[in-house]
Amino acid sequence: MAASGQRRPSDITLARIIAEAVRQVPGVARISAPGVAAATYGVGTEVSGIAVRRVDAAVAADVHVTAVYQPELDLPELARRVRGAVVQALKQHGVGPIGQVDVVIDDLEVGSQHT
Amino acid sequence: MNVFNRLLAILVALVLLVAGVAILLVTTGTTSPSQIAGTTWFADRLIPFVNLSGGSWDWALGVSIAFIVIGILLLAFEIPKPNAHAPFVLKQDGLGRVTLERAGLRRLINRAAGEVPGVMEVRSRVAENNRGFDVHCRVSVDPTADVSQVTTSVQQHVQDAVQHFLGRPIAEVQVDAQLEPLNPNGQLR
Repeated sequence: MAASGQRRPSDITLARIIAEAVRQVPGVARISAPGVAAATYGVGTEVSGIAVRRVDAAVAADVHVTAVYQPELDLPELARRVRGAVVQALKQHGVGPIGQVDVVIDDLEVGSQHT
Repeated sequence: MNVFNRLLAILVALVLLVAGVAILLVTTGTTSPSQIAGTTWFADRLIPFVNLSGGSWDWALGVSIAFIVIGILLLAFEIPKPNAHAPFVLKQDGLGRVTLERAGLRRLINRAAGEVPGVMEVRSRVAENNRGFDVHCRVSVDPTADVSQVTTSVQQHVQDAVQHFLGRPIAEVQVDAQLEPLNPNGQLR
């Protein structure tokens, strides 16, 4: 049980909450699925690209996103918005305390790629 | 492994290396203990290895080589190496860390360079040092374009893009231009 009477949903529920919030952030093309290390597993289910961690009493998360390449793109600002969305969504669900939210920008989505 | 253990392992590796090399040189008669040892204490430890013969010589030689090999392996294992695939850290504070995977930065650079008129194809490689990012672009240029002008534009465009999108400085942008299409197997990573 968490301190101060706050609810403590399962990691998979937290990952779903985070994923839903991150998808709504302008500039995020999608949540990436870089590998098994960056995923949260439940019974017979998983959320790829979101790794929920428990650090002491706090809920921390690694969030992997692919950003949309656009002229006004500002990656540090995008990461700040992602963090903000995650913290706000968790707070709205009564989750706390909230620890570090690490944002990994895995790739950029562009219209036509010169590679 | 924590820092103390790592330092201890490096110290042991250095001791093994120095001892191994010294024993090897003295055993093979390449040098004398007084010439190789900086202190009398060390020279005294090496004297038993002078003028060995038969089985003792074989043992001393084997042990010295084992010391050297173990020392080298331990050093190679313990000295931290820069990870060529590690993502770039854009920001780190109490709220968390923001990182950008190398593939993402390469795509951004390729896109920025590809927007320059006259550029047909781009391939890039990025490294980071204490001055900022070092970018190396290889571009295939339209044969009718001014290669020198295209190269300069690519440098400027990439520099502006990285600073704009990442808010981080560029140390250097190297551009290699060619009129032929890029080799599909020639990865710049």
